[in-house]
Amino acid sequence: MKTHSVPQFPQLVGESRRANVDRLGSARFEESPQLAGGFFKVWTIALNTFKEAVRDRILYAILIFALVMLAGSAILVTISVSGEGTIIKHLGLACISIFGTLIALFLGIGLVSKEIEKRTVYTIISKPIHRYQFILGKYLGLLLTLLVNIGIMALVLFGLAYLWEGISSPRLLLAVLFIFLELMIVTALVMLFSTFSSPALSAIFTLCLVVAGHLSADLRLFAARFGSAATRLLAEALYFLLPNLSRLNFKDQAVHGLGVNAGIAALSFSYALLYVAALVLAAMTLFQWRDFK
Amino acid sequence: MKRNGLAIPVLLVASLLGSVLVAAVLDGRRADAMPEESLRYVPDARYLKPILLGFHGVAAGLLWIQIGQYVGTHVETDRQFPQLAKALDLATSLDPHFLEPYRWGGLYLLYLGRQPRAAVSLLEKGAAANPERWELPHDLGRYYYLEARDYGQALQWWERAAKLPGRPEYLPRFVARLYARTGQTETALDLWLDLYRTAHNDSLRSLALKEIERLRAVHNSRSTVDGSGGLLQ
Repeated sequence: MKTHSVPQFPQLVGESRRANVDRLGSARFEESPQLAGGFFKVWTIALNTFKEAVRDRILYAILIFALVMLAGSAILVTISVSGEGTIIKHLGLACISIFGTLIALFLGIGLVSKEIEKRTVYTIISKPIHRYQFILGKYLGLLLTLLVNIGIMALVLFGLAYLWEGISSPRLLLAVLFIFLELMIVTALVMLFSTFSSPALSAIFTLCLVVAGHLSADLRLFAARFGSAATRLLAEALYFLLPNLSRLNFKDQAVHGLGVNAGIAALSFSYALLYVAALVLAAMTLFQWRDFK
Repeated sequence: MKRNGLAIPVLLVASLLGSVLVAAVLDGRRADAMPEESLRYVPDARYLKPILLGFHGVAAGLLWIQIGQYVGTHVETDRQFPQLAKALDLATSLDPHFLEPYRWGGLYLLYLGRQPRAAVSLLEKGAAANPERWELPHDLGRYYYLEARDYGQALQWWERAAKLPGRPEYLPRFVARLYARTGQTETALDLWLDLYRTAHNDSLRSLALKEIERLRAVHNSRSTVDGSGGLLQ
């Protein structure tokens, strides 16, 4: 792993016991044995990414729109003949998923590319911070932002479900957890693209992969029915390579109170975490290889 | 500068008023041409479901709202429901566990659309997709009992519903009565005895007792006639 110590910026060394992470916000950390740990550096970057994200107006615009949509679903169902609770829960989970994806996308596209474009990345990588720590910190910061936003939306949904049905099934929480796992993959994807392409391209690539991720099972089925041996092989490879987001869909079980197979849920959970790990590691590798001259 | 400053608001108001006017004219012409048809084109669930990227439950919910509007519109106008069965099939294919389209849709098809076959196949589809729910076999039993007057089929569905969790308290009574009605007095008597033993309240217990006494009388009179003499105790 490349590390960048301070020689290019001797003035910062002058502060001797302090490392300044300017662009990352106003955070400063003491170089004590405890604080010098890699975890603290990652956490500092994550916290500053979170602070930076919550200052972004687009986040509030999306969040307010999502909350209005959630509340609007309660008005919409008044024209339904029956099944209002089901519709509210379906709409609410869809809102969380769609607006969560939008938040991940809009904030994620500039995660690394903005730092490169504004050349602030030079300041950051000149500090005693590993590049992988920078990427990991950025990723965790965005996840923290998403967690807070998803939490707010989920609270509103639970409230609505409680108001309508008198109960709020714990399965709703499970569905929200898996939506968050899906968003973890989306965030990792957008960050991966953000390390080597422009914000617009990162958004397009990520959206394409999100769509493909929901259709990967159909792709395999289609190739099995109509394709040649080579097509089938390609489809098989793509099936395992693309993120299979339909595996993380537990919305039906949550809405209808259906039984959830604990084994399948645990495997889906592990699948999401492993896939996220692979994407974040790929982003770290690409960022490591990048030459900032 | 002043004239320019005034021109923009004036144009804004004029274009807004113009758009409202044109929209009103368009609505009037459409109303003259034909009644608004909300479900003119109903796609096939096999092709629609993959495009929805996992949001098929929301689509089913929104379609169910639209079906309600469709039924309401046609009840007030021509009382014809040509797209109803197809739309209900789509909604239930998009979300097979959404019970309302089966239950209410079955009633719409039966009593408004006069399409009993479509109603039964919709309810049977629901019963197959939701084997743990009592509601759909219950509704099928009701159809066979009240409409088709096929007590054998009604008994079969109600018996199935009565074994499922959450079923209403009256279902075992229906089953017991149907056994009696189809001539299976001994089975009916067993069911009433079971109800008598497990009844939560006095009124149900006294009802069960009354039925047991009636069935015993029927059974005893039959035994006297055929000479078997087997008095049920």
